[in-house]
Amino acid sequence: MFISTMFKAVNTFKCRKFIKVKFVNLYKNACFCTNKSEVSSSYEPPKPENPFKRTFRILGNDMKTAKNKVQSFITKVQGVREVTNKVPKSPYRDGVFPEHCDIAIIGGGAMGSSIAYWLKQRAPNAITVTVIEKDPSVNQNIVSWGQYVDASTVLSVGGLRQQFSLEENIRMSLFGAEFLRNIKQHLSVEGHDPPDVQFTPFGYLCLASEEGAQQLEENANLQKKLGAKNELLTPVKLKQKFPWINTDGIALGCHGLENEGWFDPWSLLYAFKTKALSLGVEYVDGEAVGFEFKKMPDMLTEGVEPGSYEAVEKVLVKTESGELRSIKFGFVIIAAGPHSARVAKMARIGTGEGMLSIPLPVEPRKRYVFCINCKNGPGLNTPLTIDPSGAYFRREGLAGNYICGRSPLPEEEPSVDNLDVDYDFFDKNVWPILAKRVPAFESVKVKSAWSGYYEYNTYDENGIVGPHPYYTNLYIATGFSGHGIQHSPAVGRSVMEMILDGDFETIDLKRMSFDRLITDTPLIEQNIF
Amino acid sequence: MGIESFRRVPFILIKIIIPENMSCEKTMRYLIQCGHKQFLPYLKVLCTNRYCTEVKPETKSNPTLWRKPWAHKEGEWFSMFRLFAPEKGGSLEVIRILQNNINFSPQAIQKWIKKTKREASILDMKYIPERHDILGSNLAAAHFLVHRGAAIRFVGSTEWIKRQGDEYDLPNKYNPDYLVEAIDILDMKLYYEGFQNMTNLSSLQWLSLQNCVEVDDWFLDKISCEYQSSLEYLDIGNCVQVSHRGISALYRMSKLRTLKVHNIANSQMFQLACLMLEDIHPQLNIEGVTYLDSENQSV
Repeated sequence: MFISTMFKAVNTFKCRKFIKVKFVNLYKNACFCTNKSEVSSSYEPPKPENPFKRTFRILGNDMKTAKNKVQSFITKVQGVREVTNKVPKSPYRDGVFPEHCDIAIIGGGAMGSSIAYWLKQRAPNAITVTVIEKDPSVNQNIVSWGQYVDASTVLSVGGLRQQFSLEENIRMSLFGAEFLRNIKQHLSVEGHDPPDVQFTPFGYLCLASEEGAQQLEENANLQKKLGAKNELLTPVKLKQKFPWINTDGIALGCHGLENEGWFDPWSLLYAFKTKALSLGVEYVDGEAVGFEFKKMPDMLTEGVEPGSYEAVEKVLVKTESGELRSIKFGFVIIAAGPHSARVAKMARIGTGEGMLSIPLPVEPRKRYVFCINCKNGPGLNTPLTIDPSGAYFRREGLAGNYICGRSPLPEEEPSVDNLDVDYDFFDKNVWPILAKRVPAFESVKVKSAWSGYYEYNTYDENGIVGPHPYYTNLYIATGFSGHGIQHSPAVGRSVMEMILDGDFETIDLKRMSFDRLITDTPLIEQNIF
Repeated sequence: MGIESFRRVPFILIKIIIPENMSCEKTMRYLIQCGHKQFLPYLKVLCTNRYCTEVKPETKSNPTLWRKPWAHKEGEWFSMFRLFAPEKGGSLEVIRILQNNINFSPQAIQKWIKKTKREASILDMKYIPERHDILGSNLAAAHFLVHRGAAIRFVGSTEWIKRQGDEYDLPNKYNPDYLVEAIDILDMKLYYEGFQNMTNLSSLQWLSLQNCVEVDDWFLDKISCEYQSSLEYLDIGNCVQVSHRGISALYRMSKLRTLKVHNIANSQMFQLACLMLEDIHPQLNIEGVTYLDSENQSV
């Protein structure tokens, strides 16, 4: 009797061990597969939590919250004001880290938040959306919420213009203007003030020299055809309208008359984020450090060798406290701005074989913005003026301050390790051009400066929007090279249509998909600054 | 069985133009899509927030070869039942309505009523190109405005044309002699979307938008674009949504002589903007703003 129970015990013990070994091995094989390339994710996927432990932990949490609720109700009834909170408030929406979601968006800037908003407003209860953002707070000491340090969105100059040469860009800007005009209807949240982006409708003035005059005229005609309003001005008329200008070397100018100007990108981001949160989007403070893949040998896709397909299934997130967690998703959208190439590499875009050998050509490029003060500068009749060399300036406020900048030449690109400003750049590259174009700028004083990253698309300086050809559930919305903020409502809507409708319904962004990198058909935009 | 029998749809008259060289199956799908588009306005009660502005199935370009769905590729077999298979899944709008808990509280109903009223008035103000084609821009704008309660004055006459009850006195056919010179909004609620009906008014000199609370910076942007070479008098008193940025946008209007900003010029930024505007347009005179410490301002 004794021996038989011993025997049974030993047997069951062996069984359990055997099953455990098998199970763990299978799991390891399935998810963290070794691949041929050396650059694999250097992070081990977190071990799956024991189901019993998880159950008891969640039940324990539920008990605690229930107890808290009862206690606070009792104190409210008794009229005693309780200030302290027994249980610390969890940063996550449901109290636990979101282990799975329908759509994961990597990057919580203007693009990511816009996509999250559009997805949730179309299907508020049908899908769960999680946004992974790596630097949400500026000052670690103050528990402030939603302040981004080096995200391109908040460092942007915030211009809105329709003066592009590509039809898609013009349409997206027109929709951006319409969205901002109706922002109170779109993004108001109950209990908060209605959002105000402080749009300053001054217009844009693009100047062109002899070589560029023909292109400028063609662009202006295309824009007029699509509904933007602008006027072409000869140098004589330019001098009449804008007496502060010096028209040496200028053959033609295009003045945008409507729906052009600048706004506050921080307010837009804040409005998107608040509305998304109110609709149920979960913002996770963490950095995406890798992906987990799943072998699908039965999947047959064109362009992929049968049996070799591996889908991307989970994203590994390193939370603020250093923990490594994974989120399983149905779709993932890479909207990480200047760091998108790094995220894409984690998904083997660029390091794999076949369609995966083409990397995402988005890299950060540092751009300086200087705030100068000029006592007798141009008055109110100053649109955002762009010189043929690429230098631009605009008014800021009413006290004689101006904001200016210029894209450096390819050989002078500053390093992108940090966001320090090089004031010599202003003296050498920006000021001479401005002083020549606007004689009043001979005597200016630099008040302050900042720098931000362009999510620069090194292939053709235009955005990449759309699904990746290899993965069925990976979308890309990045690479806008300096004009992303004005396109963010339109791109958010287009990505939402792509996912929920299967195709672009309003603005057709098919030409801007990743496919153009594979077929080598660049989409050149003639008016990038 | 042929193309003809498909064209004669029995119960509802639908005007459909079918291009010549479409196959039989594609014709059927095209008919269904066109019919759907014509039915859709009647089904408006089901669709709530329609965000799409232009859906044009007939102008969709063919997807490139590798992006075509398997079933559409050359040489792929499909059965005739594919006619009845929907290209997309169920409508998301229906799912959203079904999943939403309808809020019956009084505040929610009030909000919904307000929202619907606003949407209805914006729809009422939509730009109708036929009106401009038939009547010409000036008369079309005149009809649009007077019908909704505003007053119009034409070039060469001194009387204001207003609506009395349901009647007003405007020609019904195109007449190039009628040019709109002055518009007074009175108590009509003008929205931005209605502004497009007032384009191309080349002789508009006098515009009063007093007491119209919907006017904000975007409005002024549009005004300064449309009437930049002809407007001489602009009255935006009591339009509380206008800020100093909108006022600065009026720099484009070279002929502006009088600008009235009663009751909105309260902040210092606003006064500064008015001063600077007067700087660059010497003939401009702004009324309604009091410069508090005007002796300290250096002009």
